[in-house]
Amino acid sequence: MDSKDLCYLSAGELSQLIRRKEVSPVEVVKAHLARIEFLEPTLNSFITLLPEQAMEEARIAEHEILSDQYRSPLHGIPIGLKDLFYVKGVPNTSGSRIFDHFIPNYSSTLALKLREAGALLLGKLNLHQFAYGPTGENPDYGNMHNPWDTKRISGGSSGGSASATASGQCTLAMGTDTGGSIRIPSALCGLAGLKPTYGRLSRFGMTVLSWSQDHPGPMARTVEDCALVMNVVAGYDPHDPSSADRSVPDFTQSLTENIKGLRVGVPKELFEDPLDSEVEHFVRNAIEMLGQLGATIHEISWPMYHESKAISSTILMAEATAYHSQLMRHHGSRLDPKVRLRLEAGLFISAVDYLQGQRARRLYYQQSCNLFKRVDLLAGPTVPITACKIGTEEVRIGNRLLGVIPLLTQHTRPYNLNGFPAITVPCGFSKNGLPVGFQLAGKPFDEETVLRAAFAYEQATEWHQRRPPTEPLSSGRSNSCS
Amino acid sequence: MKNSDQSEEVEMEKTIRLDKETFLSMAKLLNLDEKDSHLEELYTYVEKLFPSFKVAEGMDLAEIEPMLTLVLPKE
Repeated sequence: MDSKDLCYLSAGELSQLIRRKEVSPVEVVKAHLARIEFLEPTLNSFITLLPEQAMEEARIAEHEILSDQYRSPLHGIPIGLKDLFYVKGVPNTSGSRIFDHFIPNYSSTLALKLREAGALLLGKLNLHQFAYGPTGENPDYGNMHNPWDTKRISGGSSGGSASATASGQCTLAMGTDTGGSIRIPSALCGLAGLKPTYGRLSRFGMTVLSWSQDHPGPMARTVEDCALVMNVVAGYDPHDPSSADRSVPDFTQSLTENIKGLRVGVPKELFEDPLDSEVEHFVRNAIEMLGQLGATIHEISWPMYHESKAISSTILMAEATAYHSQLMRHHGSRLDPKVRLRLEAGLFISAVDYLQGQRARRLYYQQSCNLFKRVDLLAGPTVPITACKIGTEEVRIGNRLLGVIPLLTQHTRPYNLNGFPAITVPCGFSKNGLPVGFQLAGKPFDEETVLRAAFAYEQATEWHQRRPPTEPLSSGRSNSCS
Repeated sequence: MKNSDQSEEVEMEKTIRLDKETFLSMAKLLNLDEKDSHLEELYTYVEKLFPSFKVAEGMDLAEIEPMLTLVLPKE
C-alpha cells in the first residue's frame, strides 16, 4: 500500500490494520506528514503543525500496541483539531492574529478524551475567524481551499477541518457548529459531518461563539468514523454547565441495522427556500433512496422553519457580541472587517429582542418536538449551492441574485436553534465535479438513528468513495477576503 | 388604495425600520466612534438586519418563558 492510499483509509479501516500490527502508527503519521507537506501550500488547512509531537506520540502508540495495550479504535489514528479547541501548551489562535501568542495552560475536554483514546494530533486547523462565518475565508492566516477545486471556498467555519480530512491530510477532524460550521464545510468538501445534540459533547475549553448554540462534533470521510469518534468524545462533563448527564450508547452498535419502517419527514418549507436545481435533484434522489431502503417518506410542514433562521441569528449575534465585547472595543481594527461588522451589529440587539428570541426559541423547540411524534428523521439539503469561488459575495439561483452567507446557513441554522442532532453525507456531484450534501436530523439524543440512516444511505451509494483530484489543480491560494 | 393587510405591513415596516439618526444616537451611546468611516458601512449592515432582530415580535408568545438555562449545582 503506498503512502497516499494509507492517507485515504478511514479510521475504521486503519484501526483494523493497526490493531493487527500490520501497520505502525509511525508509518501512518509519516505518510500524513508527507501529504501535508505536499498539499499544504495549496490548501492552507493548518494554522499550527505539530510534526515532532505527532511523531513522538506515534512512537509511544506503536510501543503500546506492540505491548498489547490497545486503547481504542482511535489508537494511532492521525487527527486534527479546529484551532479553537484548547490543547495545553499548544497555541490557540481562534483564527485571529490577536491570539498568535496565546498558549492555553489546560486542554479542552474533547482534546483530552481524544488523547486518552490514543488519537495522534497532527496540528490545529484553520477556521473562519472566531468561527464567525460560513465561507472559510480568513485574512489573518489565509483562506482555506476546497480540495475539489482549490479556487473555491472550503466552507466554514471549520474549513481547515474539512479540507484536511477530504484531502487525506488527516484521517478525521473535530469541528464546531453554531450555524452550520461542521455541516457546511463537510457538505462542500464531500464529507460526513455530525452536529450531535446540544449537551451531548462537552464545550469545555473551546473558544465561544454562542454559548447556547455552539456544538462540537466530528468530521470524517465515513459515517462509521463519525460514530467511532462519538464513542470516544460523548458524555457528561461537570466542567460544562450545559453538558447533559445522560447515558452514552455505543454509536457503532446500531449502524448496520436496517432502516425498514423508519419514518422520514420531508418538510416542504426546506424546498421553499432558494435551492440550486442540481442540488435539489440529488437531494430528492437521496430521499427516494431512503424509501427504496425501506423507510417511509412523509411530506410534512414545519410551521416556524422560516422564522427560525432570524431567531437563531439574533441569539447568535447577541451572544457573540457579549463574549467578544472587550476584544471588539480594544482590538476592533485588528479584526477581520466582516467579523467586526457582525460583532458591532450585535450591539444593536436589545435585551428585549434577545429575550423575545429566546421565548420564540422555546416555542420553536416545542414545535420541533411535536414534529418528531410523527416522524423519526427529517431529511433535506445541507447547503443549497455547491462551493462558490473564493471572494464571491452573491450567487444566482434562477433569476434571483442572493447573498452567499445567508444562503450557506439557511438549511443548517434551524438545528442549531433547537439543538437537535444533524448529519450531512455526500449525495452527488455537480456537473463541474463539486460535492452536494444531504442532511438528516433526529430527535434530541437520538444520534443512533441519525447515524444508522446516514450509514444505510452511504453504503447504498458510492459518493463517499470518490476522492478529490489529489494533486493541486491550481495555485489558487489566496489571502484576499473581498 | 391599500387594503388593511397592506397598511398593517407598511405600519410594521415603519415601526421596525432603523433610521440613520436613531442609529447614530445609539452608536454614540454604545461608544462607537462617530468619526469612523466604518460607521457608514455598519449602518447599511444593521439597517438591513434590524427587522430580523424583531422577528419574534409578530409571534404569539403568551405564557412562553425564554429558553434560558439555569443549572444549579447539585450540592
